[in-house]
Parts: sequence; C-alpha cells; structure tokens
Amino acid sequence: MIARVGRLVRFELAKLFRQKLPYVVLFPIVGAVMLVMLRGMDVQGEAVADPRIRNGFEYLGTACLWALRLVSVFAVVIASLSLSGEASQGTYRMVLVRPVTRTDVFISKALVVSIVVLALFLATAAVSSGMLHVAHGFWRDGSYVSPLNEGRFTLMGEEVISDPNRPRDVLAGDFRLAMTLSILPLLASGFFGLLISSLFDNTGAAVGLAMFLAVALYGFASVDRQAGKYVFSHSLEYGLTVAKHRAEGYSDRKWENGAIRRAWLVPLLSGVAFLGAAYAVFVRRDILS
Amino acid sequence: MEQAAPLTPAAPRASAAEVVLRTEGLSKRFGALAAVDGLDLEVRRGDIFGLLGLNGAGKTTTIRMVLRLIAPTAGRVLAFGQDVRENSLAVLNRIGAMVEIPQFYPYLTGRKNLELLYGLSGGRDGARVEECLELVGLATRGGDRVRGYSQGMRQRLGLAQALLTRPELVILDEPTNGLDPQGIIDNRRLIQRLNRENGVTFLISSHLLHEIELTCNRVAIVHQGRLRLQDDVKALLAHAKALATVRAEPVAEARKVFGLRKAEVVSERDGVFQLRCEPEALPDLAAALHASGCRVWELTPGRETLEDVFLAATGRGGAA
Repeated sequence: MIARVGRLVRFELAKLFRQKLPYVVLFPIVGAVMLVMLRGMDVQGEAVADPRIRNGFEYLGTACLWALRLVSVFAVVIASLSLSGEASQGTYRMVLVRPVTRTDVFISKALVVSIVVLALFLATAAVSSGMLHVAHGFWRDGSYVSPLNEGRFTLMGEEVISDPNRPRDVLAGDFRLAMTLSILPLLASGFFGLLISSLFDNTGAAVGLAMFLAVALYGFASVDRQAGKYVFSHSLEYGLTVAKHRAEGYSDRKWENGAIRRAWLVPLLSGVAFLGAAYAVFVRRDILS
Repeated sequence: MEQAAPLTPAAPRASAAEVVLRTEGLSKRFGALAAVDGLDLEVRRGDIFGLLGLNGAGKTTTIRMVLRLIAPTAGRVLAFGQDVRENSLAVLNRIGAMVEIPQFYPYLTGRKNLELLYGLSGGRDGARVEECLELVGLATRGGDRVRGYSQGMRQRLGLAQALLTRPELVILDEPTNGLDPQGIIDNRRLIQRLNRENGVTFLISSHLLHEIELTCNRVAIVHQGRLRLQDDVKALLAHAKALATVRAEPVAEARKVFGLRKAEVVSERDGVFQLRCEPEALPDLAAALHASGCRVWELTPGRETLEDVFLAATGRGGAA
C-alpha cells in the first residue's frame, strides 16, 4: 500500500506543479509578508512608554497572521479542487481503473493537501524570518539593528533602542510556539476543503461552497469570541495574536495553558472528523462523470 | 415497449479456465430506474466481445461496474475467476480500460499523461509509452498538450493508455466515438492485430452495429438493462434469413408476383423491395416477374445483418 500511495503522491505532485495555481498562490502570501514587514503596518505600541523602543517582532506577528490567513484560504481552495476536479474533468475514469484502491487515492489526496499547506506555511515562515533578519535584524549583542543601516540601532531607518524587558530569545520563542500552533488550523482548513470536495462533481460548486462556509465560520468566530474558540480555523489567531501583543510590550499578556490546548485540540479533532467524513463519502460514491 | 424474446438460446457456459470475465445477475438501480437488470455476460479468452445496445441500454453502467467505478445493487463481477470487488488490485493489474470519451489532464502533453498514468501501474519504461503512442498513430503529436487534441486524438490516446500495461483484457467503451473513417479502420485493425498476435481479449461496447459485426467474434445485445442475446457473431448470422433486394416496374405488378410466389416483402421504398426468400428461389422469381411484364432493374441476393438481428432482439424491427 505504501508503494501505491507513494506512486499516487508523486502523480499528484507532478500534476500540481505543472499548473499555475501553486505559483500564483505564493505571490499574495509572500507579498503580504513583505508589505507588512517593510511598511511596519499595524504596530500598536501604546503600551510602550518610549516610542523609540521598537523591534521587528512587532511586525512579524501582523505579517504572519495575514499571510497564514491567506494560506488557510488557499488550503480550502486547493483542497476543494482536489477531489471535485478529478470528478468534473472525468479523469477518475483514468485513475481508478488502474491497480489502486480508493483508499490509496484518498490518502494520497490528503497527503498532497497537507504537503501543499505545509509548503505554504514554510514559505511564510522562511520569508517572514528572512525579512525580520534583513530589515529588522539583530546584532550579535542582541540589540535590534538592521544590517542595511551600517550597524546603527535602527528600525525602518529610525534610530531605536532595545528593550531589556523584551529579550530576543523570549520573543523568538513566542513566535516559534505561535507558528507551531498555527499548523493544525491550516491543515484542518485543508481537510475541510477536502470534505466539501468529496461531495461535489463540480469544481465551481465545491470551491464556492467551501469558501462561503469557511468565510462564514471565520466571520462568526470573530463576532462571537466565546464560540469562536471552538472554530477550527479561528484557532489560527490565538498564538500569533498573543506573540504579537507580547512583542508590542503588553507585558501582562501571558500564554494560557487551557487556550494553548484548545488551539491545537479543536483543529486536530475537527481535521480528523473532516478527513473521516470525506473518506466515508469518497469510498462509497459512484463515479458517474 | 414490447419485450423481444431472445433469438437464440444462451450459448453453453464455457469452462472457468476459458472465461476471462463473467457477470452474474449484475444489476444497478438509480432510484426507480433499473439501469442494468440481472445481466449475465461471459467473455472468453481470445474473444473480441461486442456489447451492443442503444444509448441508455446500460452498456456503460455495466462497464463501470466491471471496473468498480460504481457499485452494483446486486450480482457480482468475476474477472480471471476472481471477484472484482474483493480482489480489485490483482484483477485491475491485468485489465486496461477506456470508459466513454477519455479525459486527460489538459495542461500536460499526451506523452506526460501516459507516463504519469503508466507510473500509477508501477510502469517506468519510457519506451513502452513511445511504443503505445506509435501504435495509435500519435508518436508525432505526443509532445503537444492534450488541450489542443481533437476528440479523435483523445480517443486514440485513450486507447494508448489502455494498452500501456500489456493487459490480458482490454475494455473499450465506445472506442470509435469521434474517430474519422480512417481512424475507425485503424482502430479496428489494431484491435484485431493485438487479439491475433498477442492474444489480448477485448470487451467493446458500441451502438455501431456494422463496426461490431466487422470487429467482434462474439456479441451480446443489451436492451433496457437486460440481456437479450449473447452468442457468436457467425452463429447469429448463420441463423439469419436470406434477403433479396428487388427493383422492378411496374410496382403494383411486381407486388402481385411476390404475393403469388409467396416471397415475404419486408419493406418497400421507392419501388425497391426487400424480400425474405432463399437465394435458390431468385431465378424463378426473376422469370415470373419477366413473364408478368415487369422490367427488373435490380435483383440482389443478400442476408440479414447484425443490424436486423439487433432490431429483432430489441423489438424495433417494425420501426425500421
């Protein structure tokens, strides 16, 4: 079975990377990161007594949050195209008459969705950390400094001072945790798209419904904060928001174990449920198109 | 519509060793509609087996069930003596198939499509891909993206992908759809050559009666989801009655002569009669026409074709 799934994954990736979509998707994600990091958007800093006390992690939180929101949207789109695309094109007739089982095909589709989501996540992490170091880098002594500004302690061209209460290692640790917590919500978004995709033979209907439901859920979670804690995609917000606030100097903002647990448990359980439901639909359906 | 009785009794069952594919009571219902109803087919090793039926007769649904693209409501499919649902991997390893108009990934070249599909079956031999492109006459267009292919080219590429793994049984659903006359002839020759030289068994569904008659050695006729007939083409045609085409004037006089000579008029259009009578009776008929003052423009002996057998089996003879 492993060999068959391996062949199918290679097959899926070969198809995927010969299309424009994966490359097109990269542009807005990388663009969002670069725009936020370079323009210094959404930095609050009201809690900071001295406005000169700034650091690149303040930007990083906003950049990653926007970029990963985009990744979650693309995860839904790519996954909702996955099964319905084969059905609408009629290419299942070519694939499923070969010596592979439906389980093999489903596992390979889920793996490819996961690989794409993780690749986009890694691209976000790589670009944002690269931007952090290039535009808002740290000097060897731990000071915030841009290598582009000849060693002066500057940020976006302005001279700044580092805050001893917000050491680099602590802020970096916050972001590592925040980014780790954002992986499962992204995967759950992908598996949500896969579930919708398994229900339709028509890509337009699958993508449209998946996007509508994903946006509606996200909107609902943003409005009703209590219920929002249990929405798989909204779990993306928790870690990065906390890390950003801590970077901005909200010293009273602490990590909460209960919230951390919820931030990975809700998308984990949702993702498993979506995968199970999508599998049950896919293996039972008649391929009529 | 009136149900026609089978023209010939079902052929005796072949031994299990000879049978490559067998369906037993195969049925599929879509809600109230019985698309396939208790179908018992038997394809033997070395056959070029034609599955004939009108549009909507249940041919494609049957093929989809054989290839487990859809689940039967009842009955089962045995290929190479094994239940297809229980041993799908072992069975599908030995089958090549093309279901309806083949669809490929349009942004890939024909060659890349074949390479990827061959890879799914564990194949890595690029030479085999080239060989199959050559077989179907697409060697020079293999590097073009499929989105630029005509329907006939896609059909040929579909045949190529079905042959990639050197299967023992090839299932082709309407393989001549979209092919030009030369393509149809090439397709037929290729099927017959592979059958003759490589011993490949074919199951071909079609509604093109003449093509099936020319290509297949055995045939089953399916109508409204039910098997109406299953036999050797030669045996069917051996039972077929002799026909004659006669054009004589005046028409009324000729009709009188046919009545007197007890020659059954099957049809008459524009003074051309189709008569059911043995060839030996034709000289006397010609003499009688001449004696009655008729001028005979044409008198051609012939036999019923598969089309006549089909029309009789599906109860459509009267509509012809």
